Amino acid sequence: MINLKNIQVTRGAKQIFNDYNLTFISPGLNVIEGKNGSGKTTLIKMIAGFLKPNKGEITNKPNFTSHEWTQSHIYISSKNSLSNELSVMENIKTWVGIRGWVTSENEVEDNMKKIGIFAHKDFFISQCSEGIKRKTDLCKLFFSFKNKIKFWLLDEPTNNLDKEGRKKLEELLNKFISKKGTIIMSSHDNKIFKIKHKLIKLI
Amino acid sequence: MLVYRDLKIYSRSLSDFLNTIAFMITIVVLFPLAIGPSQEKLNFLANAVLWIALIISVIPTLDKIYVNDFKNGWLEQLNYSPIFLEIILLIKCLTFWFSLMFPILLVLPILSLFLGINLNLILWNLLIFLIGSLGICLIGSICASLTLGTKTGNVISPLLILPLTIPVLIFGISSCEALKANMDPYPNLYLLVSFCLILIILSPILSAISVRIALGK
Repeated sequence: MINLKNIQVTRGAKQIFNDYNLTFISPGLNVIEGKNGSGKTTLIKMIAGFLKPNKGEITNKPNFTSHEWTQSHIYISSKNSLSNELSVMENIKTWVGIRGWVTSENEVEDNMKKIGIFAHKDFFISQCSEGIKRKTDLCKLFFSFKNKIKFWLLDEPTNNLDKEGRKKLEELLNKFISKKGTIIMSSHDNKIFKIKHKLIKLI
Repeated sequence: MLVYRDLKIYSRSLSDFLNTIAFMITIVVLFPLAIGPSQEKLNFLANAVLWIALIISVIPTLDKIYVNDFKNGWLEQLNYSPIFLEIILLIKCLTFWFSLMFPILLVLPILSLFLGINLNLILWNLLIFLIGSLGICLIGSICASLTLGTKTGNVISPLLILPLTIPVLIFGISSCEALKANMDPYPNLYLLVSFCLILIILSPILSAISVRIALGK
């Protein structure tokens, strides 16, 4: 379970959070909804550990050390952490390698087929559409099940996804929740998935 | 995997490195034309020209060690590696140094001959350039990480790097000049090596601190 206690965050001249308290449901889906600039990305980055609040604390139970927390979650930002000079397959394989996980070409290909990007496996990222890039980034989530990942932090995962992509993502979210996973996700539209979730509205 | 990835990226975006080499060749070729037909002047200035050409052509490329990975979000993902970020950044810097210096070292003997440097000194000069260029890349790593996420990073970064490369320049040129004058190059060479060893320890630590701050912005 992740708790935010009396969180205060200021970015530049703007106070994003002031004495903010929040408990995420775990396991389950937590959807953070808010307009642009309301602090959705800031909140997710804080939970991921990239950003420290000015005041307050973020606690998790069981108590993870910083290293344990890093190894127990996957963070997918809104940016698509992909290199234009590498192919779709190469991007996924290097990400899996950096995480220190073992995989095979067959496993990567299977996961690419599940998200629907196998036909683009040898395309350079610079040649791919924004939708394919997004699906490539989301393909990383399939490696969670073998590698003891308990949390997903997803920043606007549905950006640029077509109807089929959103359907596959919804199936993936359901599968992770059924395996007792916790998802914290930001979205402009909380009704995009028909999954029971805790809605967190940011003003 | 990290080395493999970076080498693949650099090999597919050769234009940056080719620009560096072209710039270096241009400086070296123009210099003798500028100073006129004086072999004595050329001999006197040859090592200095090579070092200045190296520093001036390498400095603008140094912010590329991290900037693309920062912009596309890859640096965030590197935090999730079981390996310490400091070691990852050191590996990135060394891979960048290898990719940059390997083609430069291929043209350096030709440029040395062009400037009238003795054939028997070229191998020694190559070794000193290799060590000095490593020092420049490690300094570049610190400055590139400091300017991550800033709007004027590509302007400020070279201004930060330049004064810090002065010890490398002085020790490097002094070693080369000592060799040319049949004197002992080792005192200055040891100073250069010591400076680089200190940088090998400091550079990844300082770079990691700056990267973490940049990722939190």
